[in-house]
Amino acid sequence: MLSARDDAARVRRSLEGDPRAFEELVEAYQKVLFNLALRMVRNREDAHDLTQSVFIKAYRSLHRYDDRHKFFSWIYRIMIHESINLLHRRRPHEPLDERIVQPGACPAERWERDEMNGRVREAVTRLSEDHRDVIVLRHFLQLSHREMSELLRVPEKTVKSRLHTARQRLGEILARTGVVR
Amino acid sequence: MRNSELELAIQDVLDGVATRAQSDWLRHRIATDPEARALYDERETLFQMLDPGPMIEPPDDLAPGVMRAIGSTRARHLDHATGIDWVRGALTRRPIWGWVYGFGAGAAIGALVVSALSGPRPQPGREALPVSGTMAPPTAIEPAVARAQLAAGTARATVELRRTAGALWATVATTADGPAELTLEFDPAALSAIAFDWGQHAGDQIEIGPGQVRVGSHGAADARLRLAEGAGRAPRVRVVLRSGGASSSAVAALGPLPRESP
Repeated sequence: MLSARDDAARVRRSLEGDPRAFEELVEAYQKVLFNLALRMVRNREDAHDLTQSVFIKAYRSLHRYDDRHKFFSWIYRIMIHESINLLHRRRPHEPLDERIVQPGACPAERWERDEMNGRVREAVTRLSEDHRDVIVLRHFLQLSHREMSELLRVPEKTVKSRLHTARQRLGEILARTGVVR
Repeated sequence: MRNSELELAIQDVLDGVATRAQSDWLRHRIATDPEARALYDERETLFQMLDPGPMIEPPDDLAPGVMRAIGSTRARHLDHATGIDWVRGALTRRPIWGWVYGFGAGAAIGALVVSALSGPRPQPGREALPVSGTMAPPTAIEPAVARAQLAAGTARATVELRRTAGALWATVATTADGPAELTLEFDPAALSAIAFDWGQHAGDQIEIGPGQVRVGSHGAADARLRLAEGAGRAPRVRVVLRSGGASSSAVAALGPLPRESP
């Protein structure tokens, strides 16, 4: 990821009409955002479309970006919001992308795993925003506590405490839905 | 009772941030306390379920698609013009087209053909033509559920609507000797545009807003648009082609999203 200063400079240049500046932001964040989308919506085509749509929305709202924050923390919120919207719009039995489904398993195992993954993702969207953020950043994007602290602008101690509570809440939700005991 | 110290130690160990003392304490605890072991197993399962596997590379066309759209949006912002203004502006900038369109406008054709899998063939020139609301279930190669061919001035456009699971796809193709604008209008509660991509021929601009997608082109352009369907809605899509002071339109009235087979 780029530094907050790099982000701010690129956003400024972009607002001044330099298309290359936004392209650099797209190049820097497309992989992480695409993977985030993929983990949220679990369908490669949707993830592709969603990532494009999020970048375009971000570009159109660039004048609203507060350069005291990291660009990623801003665009990340757009992505989470859009992916949750998409999940709510989607029918309950959307086919999953073959590439996300782990190979080698028999159809019954694959179905069971898909079903479980869907429920886990659904449970994550039911967490409060603070708790959802830490789960997504830590587990889906594999950020360190320190990176999360910088991104969320809260002390590492707070990140850790939120993570503990979020996992407990997630465990409770999954237990209620029968995914874990 | 599950105490917070145990929870903390388990999560820190699984998270890879535990101290040596925490790890030793937990190892002893789960070896001697079945409840602690059960909680550890439960959390370990949760961590495994949350493990997304390695990151994969995004598709090659992702960034170029964004930049094409950005370029179009930028041009749009710089112009501060509406679609009609844009066409007018182009005519002003290129007086030759004004002369051509002067003739063209008099003979502007509003030809409309909307067809569906079933239903009557629409008559050209009608403002709103419903298409059969009964959709075939999705197949590997989706047939168009509605198709419209429009003509306005020198411009010609074909719009096809296809349905796949949870989404409506619109493919548009336009040709024109000069500037043309194709607009898709729909109820934002029933449909929302979530993505688009230019095809072989990129147009000059695309503007996506709630209830509307506007494609501006000069010459040939084709694009693919993906719309998410609201549950239980029967979407209507109005397509308007404008060029050289002429316009024609068609309306596709689709049935609600078909239910899935059990």
